[in-house]
Formats: sequence, C-alpha cells, structure tokens
Amino acid sequence: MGKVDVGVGIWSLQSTKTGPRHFSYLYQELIEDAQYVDELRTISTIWQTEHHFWYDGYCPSLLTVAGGIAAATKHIRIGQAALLFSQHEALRVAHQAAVLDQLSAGRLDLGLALGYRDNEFDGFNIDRRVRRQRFEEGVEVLRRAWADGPVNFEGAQFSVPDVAVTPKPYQVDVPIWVAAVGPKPVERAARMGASIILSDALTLDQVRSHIALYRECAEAAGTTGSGAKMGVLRRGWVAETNEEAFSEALPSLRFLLREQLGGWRYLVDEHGEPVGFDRPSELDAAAAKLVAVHERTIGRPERVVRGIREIASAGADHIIFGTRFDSLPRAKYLRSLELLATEVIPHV
Amino acid sequence: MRFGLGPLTIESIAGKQHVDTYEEALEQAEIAERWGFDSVWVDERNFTPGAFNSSASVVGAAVAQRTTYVRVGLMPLAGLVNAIYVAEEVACIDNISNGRVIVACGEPGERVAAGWGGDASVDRIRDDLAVMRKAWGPNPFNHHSPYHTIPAEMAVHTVAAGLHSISVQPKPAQLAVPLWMAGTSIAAEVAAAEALPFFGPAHLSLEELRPLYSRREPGPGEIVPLAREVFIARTGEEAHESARPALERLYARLGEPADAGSGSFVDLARDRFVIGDPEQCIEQLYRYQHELGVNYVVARLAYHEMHAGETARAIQLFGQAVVPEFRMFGLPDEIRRLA
Repeated sequence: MGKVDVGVGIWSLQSTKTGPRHFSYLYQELIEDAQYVDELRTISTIWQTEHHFWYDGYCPSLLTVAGGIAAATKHIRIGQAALLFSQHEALRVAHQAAVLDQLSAGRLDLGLALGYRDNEFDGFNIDRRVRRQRFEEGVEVLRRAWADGPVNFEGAQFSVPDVAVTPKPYQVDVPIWVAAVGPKPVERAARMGASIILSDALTLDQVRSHIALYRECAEAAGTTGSGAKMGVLRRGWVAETNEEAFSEALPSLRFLLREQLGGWRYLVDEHGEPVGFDRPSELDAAAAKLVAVHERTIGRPERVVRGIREIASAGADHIIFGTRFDSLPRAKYLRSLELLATEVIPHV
Repeated sequence: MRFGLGPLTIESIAGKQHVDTYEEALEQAEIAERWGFDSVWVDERNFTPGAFNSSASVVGAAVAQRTTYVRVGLMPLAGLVNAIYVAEEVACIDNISNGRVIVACGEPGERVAAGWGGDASVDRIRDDLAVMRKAWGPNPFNHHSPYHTIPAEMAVHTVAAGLHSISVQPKPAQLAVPLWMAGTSIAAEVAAAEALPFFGPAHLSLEELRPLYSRREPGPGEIVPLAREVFIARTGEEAHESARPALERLYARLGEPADAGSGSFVDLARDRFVIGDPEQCIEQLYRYQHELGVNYVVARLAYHEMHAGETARAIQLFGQAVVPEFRMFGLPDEIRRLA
C-alpha cells in the first residue's frame, strides 16, 4: 500500500426539505469550512458536487464557487466531484478552469462526469444520448485550449475555430479526474491517462475490480506513466467513540442514500437499471447495502484509519472523505473534520 | 454620485508572474473597500494576446469572498452560450456575497462571438437577458426563441416528460439582481429597448459617448454609470508620469480604440482619461456629470504595470480626495480644504 491522500467533500449547498437554510448561509459556510480545512493542513483536497434545476438549490456552478474557495485558502487543492461536463460548453469550462488555476496558484483538480439526469439535459437542450461524445470532444477542446496556439477543433458536438484561449492555466498539466460508477468511464479515463473518482455507490470489491480494470486498460492504451490517481468517494464521520459517531452520522447517511440517491435515480440494480422511488423495496435494499459499505469509515479514529487502509489496499491512493451530511450540528461536524485531520490522516 | 473600482484587467505583464497579478487584483478590491468605494468590477475578455482575465464569474466569486460591504460588479459577456450558465453563476456569487452583485452584461463583439459560435446581435443579447431574468425570478419557466429552447422536451428524456418548465437554482439572494448593459452601440440599443442603465466603456471619449447616453432619458433616481481610466497622485505631473506608460501599454494590448497606437498619448487621453491631482480629477469628472448625467463612475485606478503600492496609494487618495466631493453634498469648504 503506497501513500494515500485524503480529501474532504462533497459540498452541494442544498437547502433541503429537512434542513432548509438561506443559500447565503450555505455559501458562507462552505467558505468558512474551506478555511478551516485549509488550516488543518493534512487534508489535501476539498471537493464540491453539481446538479442543475434540482428543487433544493443543489449547486450548479462549481468553478465559479471554487473562485471563492481559492480566494479564501492558501494550501488546499480544489476539486470537483464532479462537474457535469457533458452539460456544459467545453470552451467555457476551459476558460473558467484556466482562470481558477491562475487564481489558486495551480490548486485545481478538475473532476468531470457525464451527468445522467434527464431534466438537466432537457433544460440545457442537449440530447442525453450524445453525452459520451460531448464528453470526449470536450476533453479534446480543453487540451487544445490549454496548449499553445489556436484551438481549431471541428467535432460533431463542438466546433471551435482559429482562436487562442487566454490565459492559460498555471499548472502545465491540470489534473483531470473522471467520475465513474460503471466500468465505461473507468475505461475512458484509462485511455486518457486521467485520474478517477469512484462513486460512493460502489462496494469495496467493485472498487478493487474497477481499479484493476483501469490498470489493464491503461496498460493497453500505453498511459501507465500518466501519474493518474485512483480516487474513491466514501462517506465518513469521526467522533470520540464509535457509538457517538454511529448515532450522529448513520441516520443522516440513511436519509441521504434513501431519499437523495433515490430521487436522482443514481443507484442501479444488478442489471444496471436505475433504482428510483418507483421501486421502493429495491431502493431500501440498495441503500441498506451502501450503509454497510460506508459504516466502515464511520467511528472513532482507529476504526476510520482501518476503514481507509482497507480502501487503500484495494488500490486507491486518494480518498474523498464525504463528511457533508444534511442536518448535523455544525460543532460536531467541525470536530469530525478536526479528528480526521489530526487523529486519522497521520496514522493512515 | 457613487464610485466603483475597475474593471480589473488582470492581464499578463512582462516581469510579473500572472498568478501574482491575480492576487494583486484581489488586494486592490480589498483596498477599495477600505477606502469607501461602493463597488469593485470584474469583466472578461476572450482570446486576447495580453491574456486578460477571461472569466468574470470565477474572479467575481473571489472578490465576493475577499470583501464584505462593496458590491461585486460582474460583467459577463452575453450572446456566447446558453444564458442559463451565466444566470446560475451570478446566483451563486450573489449568495457568496450575501446579495451584493450588480450585473452589467457585456456585448461580445463579432470576433469574440464568432469564436464561440455565438451571436453579438441586439436580438440575441435581449434574449439572453430575458432568460436570465426568468431564471432569477421566483417561478419555474420555459423559454422558446430562436436562441433558446428551455426545456427541450425531447422524447428521449423520459424522466423530464410532462414538466414543460424548469426552475433554475439557487435563486439569487437579492429580490432583483441590478442589471446594466455594458459596451458601445449594441449595448446602448439593448439598454434603450430594455430600459436598463447603459454603462459606457473607458475607451470611448466624451464625444463618442454623447450619442450613446442620449438614447434614452433615465428615470428618476436611476443609475447612469460610466467607466473611466483614472489615475490620481498628489501632483498632476506625478499622476501623468505614472499613468502614461501604464495606459499606453494597456491600450496597445487592448487594441482599442482602433487608432490607439497612431496618435500621441495626449490625443488619446483628451476627453477620455481622467489623470491628475485631486482638483484636476474632480474638474474632469464634473464634465461627465454635467454633460452625460453620469452619477456612478467606475474608475480603473488599478494598473498592473505599476507597482502595487503605487495603485494602492491612488485608490486611497481617490477615496479621500475625490469621492467626498461628489458624495458629500453640502461639504463645507473649511472641511474640503483639510486634505
């Protein structure tokens, strides 16, 4: 097991039904959390998550909000888990990511995903069926936009003429991370030599097999030297005792998985079919299975250290520790972050 | 009269790391807040050899974070992409800043629009504004025009079937985001048609601005904004000595006005740049107030060609010696002379 970096996430800035908040409170809280985490120093990244037109205000503009995080912090890297790239204009993402990378002095970890909600594609007038093509062409637009010289890209989804994007990013190679639930994005990332962020909907065995798949595909594509990171999103919570951690975090975790993932039709059954509210018993079963997965990174520091090592032994070298649960008391949440930074990460 | 700082240019300067220029810009925003400015402005320029800042949203969010009281003036370009993106970003910054955003939409110009496959026409920009206003409003909406189809209601999007509307989230903190139009003739036409404040750019002279500002009579209490190149020092000589090289190089990089490189600096500066000691700056600004009805000046003041300390002093001096003249109606002469 090599070195494991631990980041925290995933800020969504939702004003939910059970935990309604003024949006300004949520955005201010994100900035304060980012400063707090930045000062703890051992946490290496902070990650946000994106949706559009979702009833609770789920944050739609990650690179913009990251501008606020960059201005508030000095050390921590800033990532997206993930920006729904197929729903964006690639040229706009190229400009904003370059500016953000300059503004943060090279602290951008650009996390990209396909997106999957019909409502979002429909709102943007983008046919969901072209999302893979949009993603792949979009990545090529990013590469050309950040290289010297004009973009000159002619694709089926994007067409960018003889224009040079300015400014360029601060980093010579802005790390690109690809978010993945199923095997296809893993293969895509491996071909690109990009890092991956494996979904919180995956079991440890699935994480292991996805990472093995990545290595295999990277070998075949000749991208093994890219320095790609194997990231995994895991829900987690740290308290002084296991009992405290369970009683604080588990009800919120259950709620998150059951209600939110159900609403997004994000969970899939063994046939790859979405499990939504129309299939309540399957949703309950899927959520229960995932609670068992994430329980292993919930508890007192020693337990969480073991949980993280277990994920690392499956091949992961970057864990996004998902501590953002709805409706938890802020003091306890900050204490969980502090324990993660001081009692967990140094011992992983 | 009210005053803003900017628009911050944040271009690449020989002898400075670009990354330091970004930090310098955020410091300038903080200094403006400290010395009593009303706002700090960020625009965006695409495909520029000088590598000017190309995202008003990303830097606007940073300015919002670094400041507490000043308004954050955002100048996103219209006509380039689906206006929902811009509406979403503005709403996020309005929440980061707790309701301090002003949006002055920019006209992109034909060359930039072409780079995006966009459209710099009056119709397109008005359509973008309509989408943004609907997106910020409290109701779910739909919008069908030659430029936007919201929502698309494609048969393949089965989960979205039957909704006929979307609700852009989050909503801004403000009940209504103040909206201006920035640019030249197209912006002035849009502003007139939409009854919005027209925000004239720094590179146009008083003569060039006159027809743009006369297109419509502002309503009672309405904002009449104008951007100007401003530099101030204790003496007029000192101000010119610092401003001249900085402005010459800035305008050579901007490539505007088109004849910037051909004439002398004196010709370029005449009726266009506000440079001098406090008295001279005041006198020049009165002209814009009297002749165009301007009541909100966004003064650049911050030039990355200069040492950061030099711009910091100029921002302070402007805040102490010029702003009170226009803001403090009835300021007794005895106090005015105390500077």
